[in-house]
Amino acid sequence: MSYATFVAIFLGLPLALLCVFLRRRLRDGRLWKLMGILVIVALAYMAPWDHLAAVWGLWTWAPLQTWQKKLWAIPLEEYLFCLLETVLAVALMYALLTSRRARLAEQQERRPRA
Amino acid sequence: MIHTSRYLLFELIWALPVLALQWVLGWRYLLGTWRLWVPALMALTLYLSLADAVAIQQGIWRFDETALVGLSVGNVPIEEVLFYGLTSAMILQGMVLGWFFLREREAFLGRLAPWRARRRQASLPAEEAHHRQGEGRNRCGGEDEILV
Repeated sequence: MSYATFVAIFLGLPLALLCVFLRRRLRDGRLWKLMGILVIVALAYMAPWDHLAAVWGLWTWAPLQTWQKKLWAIPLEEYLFCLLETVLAVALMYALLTSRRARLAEQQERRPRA
Repeated sequence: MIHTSRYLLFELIWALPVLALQWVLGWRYLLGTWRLWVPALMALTLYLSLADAVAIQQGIWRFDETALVGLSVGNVPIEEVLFYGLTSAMILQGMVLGWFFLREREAFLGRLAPWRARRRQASLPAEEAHHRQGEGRNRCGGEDEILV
């Protein structure tokens, strides 16, 4: 299995399912604003760290299972992994924050106590 | 000891300052929503660790065995499980904090709205007078008349 196939199956697929689940809420600008910020921060924070680990030899990737294109010492699929992991986690958290359970809990909190 | 904990130390030094900062900035929000993000954190960590087991078994990536403490769950080193826990926590908590930041900002702007409306109204007579003055000038032979 190639790294790209792995990313597509284990991150792309659950993300697609989550998008179908969230389809009515996907127009919320707050989701896209926060997702954009968090993706940029995650990639910027991950890349130097991952690069250093690769240079030190803490982990390596099988060259024949990647596209063999690197940015620093990191294969492109690794950036894709980081990006999709962030998007998946953000979408999951958004689904929970806008869930009926969360809204009910908030309403209860706002209701003045007798 | 340090030699075999290199991966562990490397990820802890990387992730803990961010998590600490998130808690310092928004511990109230994180505590208030733990019922939402803690199950998500556990589910993501478990799922990504299982995926990692497949990647390792398929030989997509491998680790320097001398940099690992030696504990593992199946074929997944404990450092990897921790890695998915730490990265998921950083993202999920970041999302919670961002969410409440946007809401507080909206609420703040909402509270500010009546005050801004009052200011706008207060500045209206002055603006209108200024506007009328300009109109008057035009009527009494402004640039338009000269041009005509």
